[in-house]
Amino acid sequence: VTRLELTRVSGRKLRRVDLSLDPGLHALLGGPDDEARELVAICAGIVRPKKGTVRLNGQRPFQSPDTRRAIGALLDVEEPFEGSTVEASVSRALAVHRCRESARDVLAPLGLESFLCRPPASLSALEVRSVALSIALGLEAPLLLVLHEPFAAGLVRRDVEARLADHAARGTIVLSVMASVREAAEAGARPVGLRPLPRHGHEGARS
Amino acid sequence: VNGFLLGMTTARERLRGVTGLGVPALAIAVVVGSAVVEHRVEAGAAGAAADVTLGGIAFGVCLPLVAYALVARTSLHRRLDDAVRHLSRHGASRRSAALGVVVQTALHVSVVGTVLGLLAVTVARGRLDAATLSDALTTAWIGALGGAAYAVFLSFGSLFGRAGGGRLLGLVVDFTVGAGSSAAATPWPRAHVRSLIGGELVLGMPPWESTVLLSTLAATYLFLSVLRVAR
Repeated sequence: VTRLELTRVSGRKLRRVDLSLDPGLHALLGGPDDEARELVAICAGIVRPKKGTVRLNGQRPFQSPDTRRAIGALLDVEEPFEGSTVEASVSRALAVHRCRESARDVLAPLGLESFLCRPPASLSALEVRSVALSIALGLEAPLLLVLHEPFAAGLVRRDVEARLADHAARGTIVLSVMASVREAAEAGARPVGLRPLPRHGHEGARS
Repeated sequence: VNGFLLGMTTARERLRGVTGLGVPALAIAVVVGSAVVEHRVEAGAAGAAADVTLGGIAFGVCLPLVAYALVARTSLHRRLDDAVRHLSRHGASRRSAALGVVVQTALHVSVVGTVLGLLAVTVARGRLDAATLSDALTTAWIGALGGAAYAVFLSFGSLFGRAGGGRLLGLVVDFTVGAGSSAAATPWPRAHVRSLIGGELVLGMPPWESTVLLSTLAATYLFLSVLRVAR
């Protein structure tokens, strides 16, 4: 069974976190935004934790390219893509993931077909995020999807919800930073507290 | 999909921009202009004009600066390992991708070094004869080797500091410490390039030893760069 384990993980802004997740849909709540932001990058193997260890099925994502290949990630701010067209950039990313689907197969069902021929530099920050989320959602059998506010990435909410639920049902760990307990409940996600969740009255995750 | 080849492709794409083409073009213009001036100043001593141009503006100033600008461009003005994040986050090996970026940049700077050397010699000498041809060919491979060594050395520097500030530090150290001929100058490309074009020898080493040492230094910096990048 796939398992994500964070043991005494801390980063530049992230304070110590211990977490163990099984497959399913999890909503990360209850911490300052910059901590959640860093946690996403650490779990995805993009940033090295300052202390502690992150293990996905026993492998450390930062040190293991094979593990990163099985992770789909959406950061709070995505860097602009490189390449001549969005199609070329997405194809390259999918090829590195060893994904058999084409850029069109991944982007078209989510309504982003018109992006394919555009130069990457012409995409707005939100459009870059929507393409990055499409790549993550388009992976064939990811072990982990770690996403920063996926419902605020410019894609149709029900499409994103359906894809996340589908991945979670097929044994993927889906960890999403969500804006509120209500949003997590609507998505059917299990709340995971980065810090102890407030008991009464306050449903915002951002303190 | 091979991370090394993707790294090379990435560097090629980044070098297509204004920096990748404009900086070498500017360096070529400066070297040609300087060679023309030296040819006039050193009238009757074509060899001396070529030596001054090569040791001064061509390989002393333009080659390291071009290498610095191109390495900074392919590293996106940050750490080299961060500059391949768009590949490593999807599962490419950081080491392979960074190696690809460094090798492609070194090839690019090598070509620029070759062109700078050829132009400096032919323009400063002001005629095309057997001596000029021989001198130009010798200078061409020195430019190629020196360019590659500078690119690899500065790429290694790009792996230090939060934003790759080691790159600038490396350039400064090369300009200052590398200008000498003592043991302290041995690890820096400048000392060996100068020795190869007929300048002051490093620790009294003959040029062929400087050639071997410069090649070894480039290989060592490349190896250390790969080691310093996480997988």
